[in-house]
Order: sequence, then C-alpha cells, then structure tokens
Amino acid sequence: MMKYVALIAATAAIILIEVPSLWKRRLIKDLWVFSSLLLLGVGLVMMRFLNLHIPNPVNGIDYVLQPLAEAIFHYLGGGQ
Amino acid sequence: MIEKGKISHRQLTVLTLLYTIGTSILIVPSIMSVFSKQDGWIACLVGIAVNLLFILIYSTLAGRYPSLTLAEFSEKIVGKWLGKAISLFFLSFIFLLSAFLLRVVGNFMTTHIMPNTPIEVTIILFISVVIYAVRLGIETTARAAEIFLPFVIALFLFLTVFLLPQIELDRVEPIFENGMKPIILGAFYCFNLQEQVILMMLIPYTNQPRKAKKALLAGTVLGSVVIITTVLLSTLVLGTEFTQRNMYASYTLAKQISVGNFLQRVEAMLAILWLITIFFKTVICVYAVSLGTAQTLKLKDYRTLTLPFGLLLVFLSLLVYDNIISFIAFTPKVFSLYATIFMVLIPVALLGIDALRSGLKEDQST
Repeated sequence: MMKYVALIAATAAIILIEVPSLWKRRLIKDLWVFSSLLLLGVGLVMMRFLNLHIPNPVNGIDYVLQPLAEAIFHYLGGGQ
Repeated sequence: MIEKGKISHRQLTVLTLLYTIGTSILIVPSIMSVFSKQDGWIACLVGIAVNLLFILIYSTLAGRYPSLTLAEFSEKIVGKWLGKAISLFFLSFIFLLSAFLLRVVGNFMTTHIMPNTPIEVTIILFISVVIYAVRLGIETTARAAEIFLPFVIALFLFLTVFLLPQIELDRVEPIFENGMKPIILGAFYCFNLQEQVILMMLIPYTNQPRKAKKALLAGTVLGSVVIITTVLLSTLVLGTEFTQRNMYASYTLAKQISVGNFLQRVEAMLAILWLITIFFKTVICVYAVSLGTAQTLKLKDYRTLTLPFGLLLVFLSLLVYDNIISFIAFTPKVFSLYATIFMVLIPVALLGIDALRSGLKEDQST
C-alpha cells in the first residue's frame, strides 16, 4: 500500500512543481509533452507494481545484436 | 536557444575529464583482464587512441554547426523528418545509457557499501540529486565540477602512491602472450565504454565552440591516464586471475592498501571518487537527453522534461537487468556493438552526408 501512496505523492509533487508555471506562460505544447511523459511513467510504474509483464528494451537489443556480437567475440579469440 | 548558460574552455576540459573517468574506473579493469588478460593495459591504450581519433570526427562535425547541438543539426543535414528520427534514436541511446549508469550505482552501493538498503532507495536518492543539478543548468554543473576536481585528483594520487609498494612487475608478463586478437577485442570494448559522443551535445554551450576540440582531447587524455593507471595497477597488484574474479576490481585494489598495519580499509575513498565522477557522467547524460528532446520537439524549456524523465529513468534502471548475471552477459559484448551504432555509424554518416552536400553546393556556385 505504501508504494502506491509514495507514487501518488511523487506524481502530485511533480505536477505541483511544473504545471502552474507552464500554465502561466501558456506553453501548451510543453504541457502536452510533459503530461504524456508523466502519464507514461506513472503507467509503467503502476504496471510494475501490479506485476504485469513489461517488455524489456535490453532484450530486444540483445535479440538483434547477439549473433553479430558473438561472431566478433569468437573471431577475436574471446572464447579461449 | 533553450539553454542560455555558457561554459568556458577549461570547464569543458574538467567535465570531459570527470566524464571519461566516469564508470570506467570501477568496471573497466575487470573487463579488460577478462578479455585481454595481462595485456589489458595495452588494449586500453589502443582503445583510447581510437577514442581520440573519433573525438576529431565529433568536433569536426560539431564545428560545422557551432551554435547547434546534434538534435538540431541532424535536421539541417538530412532533412526535417529523417533528422528528427535520427535525433530521437540517438536520444534513446543516451536515455538507456543513463538508466544503465543509475543501475550501476545501485548495484555497487547495494553489493558493497550499504547491503541492507533496498536498491530503489539508492537509485531514487541518486537521481534526485542528478535531476536537481540538471535543472540548475550546465553552468552550475561545470562550476561544481571545478570544485570537485581537486578532490578527485587528490584521492586518486593517494590511492596510487600507497599501492606502489605492492607492485610486482612480473605480473604483466608475458606481454602479447595470445597475440594481437585479444588486445583488439579488449580495445573494442574499452572504446565503446567511453561514450564520448554525448559530449558533442555540450559543444554549442562553450565560449568558443570552434576550439572545443582541444578541450575534449585534453580532458579525454587526462581521464584516460587515470583509467590506464587503474587497469595497470589492478594487474600489477592483484594479478590477472584475481582481477577477473572481481567485478569491481579497483575497489578490491583499494582494499589492499596497508601502510604499516596502521592505514587500512581506505576503499571508501575509491567509492567517493567514483561516486563523484559517475554523478557528473549521469548529469551530462540526463542533461543531454532533456535538452535534446526539448530541441527535437521544439519546446521552450528543457527543465519541464526533467522530472518525468527522472521517474522513467528510475523505472527503466530497475527493469533493464534482472540480476548481475544478465548485466555481465550484456555489458561488454552486446552493449559495445549497440554503442558502435551511435558512436561510429551515426556521426560518420552525418559528417559524410554533410561534406557531400556542401561539396555539391560549392560545385553549383562556381
């Protein structure tokens, strides 16, 4: 339970720090980018709290580059 | 211009120096001795030579657009949409790198310094300070770097001098035991762990962008001296096998210091040194990614993005590795190839296209 409270408190603090000044300066585009990034962040953290599966970008990179990386490694005698 | 701050020539050198020492001082000795055995220091030397060569490419590229960062001049070079795509791709690399740096701090603190504190706490505290520094801007960060630099140098000299009595020169022998191949492999990994390309984002904010080349070269050379010394000392004092078995070899190295059974257990000094340098490396990375995103999306202020990015970075740093085994499997082998895309392919391609285009323009005008 504590972690949800902490997440909500952190999100509220971030909104309180940023939104008033953005709104005052009428930076609508900045506000859009800010809100979508914050929403993405809160959503992902919430998914982690609920133990939902989140794809790991590192696994994707690993999948694409692994064969070439292994080839370089073995060519340069790394397997010895 | 989103960022109004300006840093001097000397401040860029200091930032480059701290950036180069960065994570490398702690993780490079072990990686070098795993792949190049006792020739790790030669591999490091080769890697740094390649690094200096690429700094020339980066500063030539940045020198063509002295008032713009990579996020801005990529649009000028390859057109609006392709340029934006390249910037975002590049920024995703810096973002992921920042998450890796955060995780390395978390891993080190929980395994060596504060085992009872959850890794999340370390990471959140660290990113809070980083975000604070990024919001204050590059000028403030550069001045802080100047203040911290004497401490870093003093701590490093202290550690080096007290390790000198324990050196045994026969530990680096035989030199070139396995030929050139392992040295090239080590050099490839060493080069890709430096990520100097991100410093290109700072060049437009120096007093004289055209002279940034000298500052970058000087900073990298000085930082590399520290790294090569650490790699060499690890081999000379601990020996190859013991260095291989320690993930943070230089930390173990600092534990060896014992002066007359009186001055002992000074390894926390190395941890302080490393925390200072990785702090500046993370600040530069988070700063680059916030500024770059704001420029790519044409926002008015990069500071707006820092707090949501902080939240995302904490999340990502906990997601990237399941455990230390997956970190070891990924970091030198696959990461080096991934980093090559951004450290070699993109800058060289941009420079080539730009040179070709300006060549064509000159042909038409004459």
